Amino acid sequence: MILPLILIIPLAGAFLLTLFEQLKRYLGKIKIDSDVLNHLFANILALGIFILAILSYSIAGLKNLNTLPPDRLLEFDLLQVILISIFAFLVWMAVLFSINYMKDKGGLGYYYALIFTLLSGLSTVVMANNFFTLFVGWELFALSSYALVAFDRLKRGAVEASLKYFIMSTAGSSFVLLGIALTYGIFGSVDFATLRNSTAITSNPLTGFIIAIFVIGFGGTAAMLFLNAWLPDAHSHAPSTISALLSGMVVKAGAYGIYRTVFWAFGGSNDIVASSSVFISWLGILTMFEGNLLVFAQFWRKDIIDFKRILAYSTTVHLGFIVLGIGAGTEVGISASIFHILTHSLGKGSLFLLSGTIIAAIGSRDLREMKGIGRRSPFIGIVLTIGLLSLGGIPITGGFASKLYVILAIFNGNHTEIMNILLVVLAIINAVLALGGYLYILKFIVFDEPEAKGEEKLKIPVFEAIALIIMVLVIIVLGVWPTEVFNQIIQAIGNLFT
Amino acid sequence: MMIETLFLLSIITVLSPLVGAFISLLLKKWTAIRDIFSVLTIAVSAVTAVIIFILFDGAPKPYDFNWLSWSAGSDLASTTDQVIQSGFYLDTLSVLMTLIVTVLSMLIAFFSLEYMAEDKHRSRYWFFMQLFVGGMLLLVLAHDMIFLFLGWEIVGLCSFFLIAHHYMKKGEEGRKPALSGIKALIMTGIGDVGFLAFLAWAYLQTNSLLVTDLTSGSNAVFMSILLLLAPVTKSAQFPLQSWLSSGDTVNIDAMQGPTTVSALIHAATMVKAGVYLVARISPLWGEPVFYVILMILAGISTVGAAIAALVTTDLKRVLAYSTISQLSYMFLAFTIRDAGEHGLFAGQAHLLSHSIFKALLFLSAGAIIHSIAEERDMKKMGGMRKELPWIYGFMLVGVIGLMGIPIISNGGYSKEMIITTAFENGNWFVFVVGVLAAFLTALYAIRMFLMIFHGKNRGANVHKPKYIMRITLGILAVIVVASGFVLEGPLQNKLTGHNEAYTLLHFVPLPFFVSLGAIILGIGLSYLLYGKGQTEVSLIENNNVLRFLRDVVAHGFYMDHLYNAVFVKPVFWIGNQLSFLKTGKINWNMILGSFVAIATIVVLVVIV
Repeated sequence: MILPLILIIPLAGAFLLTLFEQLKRYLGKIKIDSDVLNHLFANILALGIFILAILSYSIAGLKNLNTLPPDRLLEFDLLQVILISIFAFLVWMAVLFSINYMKDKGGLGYYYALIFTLLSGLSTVVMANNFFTLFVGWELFALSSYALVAFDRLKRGAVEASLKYFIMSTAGSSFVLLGIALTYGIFGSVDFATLRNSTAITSNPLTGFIIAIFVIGFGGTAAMLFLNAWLPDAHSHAPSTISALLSGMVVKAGAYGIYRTVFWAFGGSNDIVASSSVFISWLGILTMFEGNLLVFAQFWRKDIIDFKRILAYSTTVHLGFIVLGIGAGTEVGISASIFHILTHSLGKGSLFLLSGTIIAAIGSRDLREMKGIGRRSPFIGIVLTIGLLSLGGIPITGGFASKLYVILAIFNGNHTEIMNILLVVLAIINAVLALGGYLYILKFIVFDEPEAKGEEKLKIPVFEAIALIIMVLVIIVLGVWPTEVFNQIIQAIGNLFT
Repeated sequence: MMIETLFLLSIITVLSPLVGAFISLLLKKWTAIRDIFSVLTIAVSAVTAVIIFILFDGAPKPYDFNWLSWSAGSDLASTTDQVIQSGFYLDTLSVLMTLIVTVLSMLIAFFSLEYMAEDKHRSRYWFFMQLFVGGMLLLVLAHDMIFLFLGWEIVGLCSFFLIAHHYMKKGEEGRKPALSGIKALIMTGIGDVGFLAFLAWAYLQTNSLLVTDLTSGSNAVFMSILLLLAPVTKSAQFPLQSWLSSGDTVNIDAMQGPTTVSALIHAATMVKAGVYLVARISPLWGEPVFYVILMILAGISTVGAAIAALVTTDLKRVLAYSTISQLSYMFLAFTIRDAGEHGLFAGQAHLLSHSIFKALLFLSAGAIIHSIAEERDMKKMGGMRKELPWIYGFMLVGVIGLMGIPIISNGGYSKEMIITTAFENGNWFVFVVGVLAAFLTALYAIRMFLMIFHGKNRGANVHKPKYIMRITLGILAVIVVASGFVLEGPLQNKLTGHNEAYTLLHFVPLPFFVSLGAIILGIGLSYLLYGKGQTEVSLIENNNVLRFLRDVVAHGFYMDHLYNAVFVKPVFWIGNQLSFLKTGKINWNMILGSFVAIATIVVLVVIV
């Protein structure tokens, strides 16, 4: 029963949240503030889904795929539990953060409702066992995120970013749809398991073309090389909570799509996996280089050094890392990638949320105006330092563990040894470059002297502080003892293949 | 029973400062208690380290435990679980290093009680100090490369924060420490590239990450070069030395931290990590390429850094350059590679003695700088022997150790050992460079000493340091002299690890008198040039060519300028050019996107 609940609860919740918003005036008459109701309900809902996702695995009978009907459209296993838990946790943090962040903004109910449809769409993508379910979920979350990016609809930039995102993402979706159509037309099925066991795949000359179509389609959302033009605009103009969700969940869905296609649906033959994983690894490396160089370009800009834009480019770098791990083509590589998805969601999520706090305090996204804000508020300084160090892959933070796992995995990957060495060295060089960018941010926000006008201390709103503290604590716990979580992920990937 | 005791003690040694660091954060309200508590956690480590040293009998002892399961193999369907082992490894090298690290760190922490008493941000200072020591101990005692790398990174991180400790100061005084910290973390980060890649490669070769399982394998030459990056960056060798000590005119380096931090970095932690790594893998890793390149780099560094130490007028920078030079000395010893591993022992002995006398020198420098209001320029000192007679005496002991005067200092024993071993094995490169470096060392050490203490006071106001500083310096001075004698006697069997009939210290006339001659020559020349309180040599000032060369050295050999021009600027420039493609002007986005899409299709159709 829980399986449909995970999809239905957010949708039903979204409906209720919209209803509250619609009935705002009537609720006001009977002395109920619909904003408070929305905040409360959204938080309970988010926490509920997170707990449900965690609990679902321990409930007997669900561990076994066979309990589902044979002509099912969904599957549910440890991997799905882990990914949905990560997404639900991030949504919960964003919603908790929104209590202060979205205070006194109009259309609160719609905002929360869209977040929950986003979550529902992502869960569908993760739980899909065939391309068509995946596509339905894909469109659901994509539509929600277009609207969320343009949530500050009075700002011209937000609408423009949303439109850009819409065009590029729709192009990607049409590629995916084309791929699905071709797959069905040629192989007669869109089911992952059927495709995996089909012998027609190895012999058909069009297989490479279909994989390429899927990689392009998913790659647009996964912010691969030059397909990511939408990403910096959308991230920097969306509300900060939405940037956190975009960076923490939405782009990861693209990586998941690539993995599902190349290594699962078309992964039946080792030849295909081996040759396409080489391509995917190099795609990841090139993406990392692109992201890193663009991060450095930001510091040279004369008009505005946009903090959120830098974080957005850094997301590109980490997506490169994740795709690189997937490209290793082994169980370990995929597990390491999923662990990196977790630590990157936490690290980048906390930084984007923190950017919301800072921007609300000083009213600008410009890094130059944020000079020394870490001194005015040590809380901001500490959260920022831990978040940046985690992204940079420094020990005692989760980012270090996941970086280590990805690198070990690439080395033990599918390719020839020279290629492995080259990939590892390029990956670590990129990690060091990225660290350079993070330290530059750290210099601006913590080390530089504040401008004379803002000497007084900053007050951090209480719910924003709680959300950030939880995330930072999780980052440190994962850094000190990653083993348990990582073993679960390994187990999850192992389950898939047995 | 004995085994468990040692294991337990090593766990306590590592965990005491690591846990203490986090507890000390909680004691923010009671500053005095926090300061003393922080020293005590390191002292606990020191006590356990001494007990370990006494109990340890010389035979290597691993204590491993399973750390995480990890399914291996490149086959997608493989489900065989593999276990990565981690643990502590006690052998003579790690036991000795533990002893050095804990005891010296304890003394330095004790010293900082007085030195940092006026600082406003002591809770940050104490947190990172303890974490620093804990990270270094983890690195030293680790049996597998993951723990080693973990310690390695913690040490790097803490050095970043400690070097940047004064960032809160106003203006330039705050900007430089911040930049220095960033520079240190980024430049040592280059070494992490090599180490991490090597670690992953080693796992592929043997399916184990234990250091003792290290063997050669395919592509070993290439991996040797990658691994070399790690000690070269961490121990600040030739091409990548400028994070530790840059030119006088650049002035962005690790010397921007508090002097106690410099002492910790130079004496026991951080830069010793690179030397320790080479010493640790040296018996197991026999690739000639590794040692040949290391020898050349170390040879360049030891002479180059000694020359730079002759030119700079910043007291701390003289010591920093001297550290680079002495570290290269150890590397040179490791590259001798004789069958009995005598070079390895000589290098380890020099590691021990250098740690002690460099701690003494840095803390003396700290005491001097502290007593003349944070002035580091030697041109403004002079004539200090009247105001600071105690420190005069202690620093003299340190300088004797640095120069390596035989018999009366530990540095003398170990330096003699290196030169003798090089001579016996016919390694002429190491021998010649070693003697040359001994000469230059004597020259700059005496120059520094004379410029500080002799001649006339050139305008520094002195207020005398109190007891804590004097006590610490006194203890260190005694150890400098005493450890030389101990090296010869009871330590010998523990250090060599096996009871073969080789005496570490034996007298071979030719190398002994050659090096002694070089040292005496250096002292004499230095006294001639600087004995009357001169700060400049007229010969160099009046000659255009020499003055030009001096300026090159004073700019740190233009290394920082080179890196800026070759690496930093191009990265920004390419990024800037690339960002043009993202402005949407002719809608590059779509063109490039289509290009990538077509490329994807072509490549995948061809290769699948």
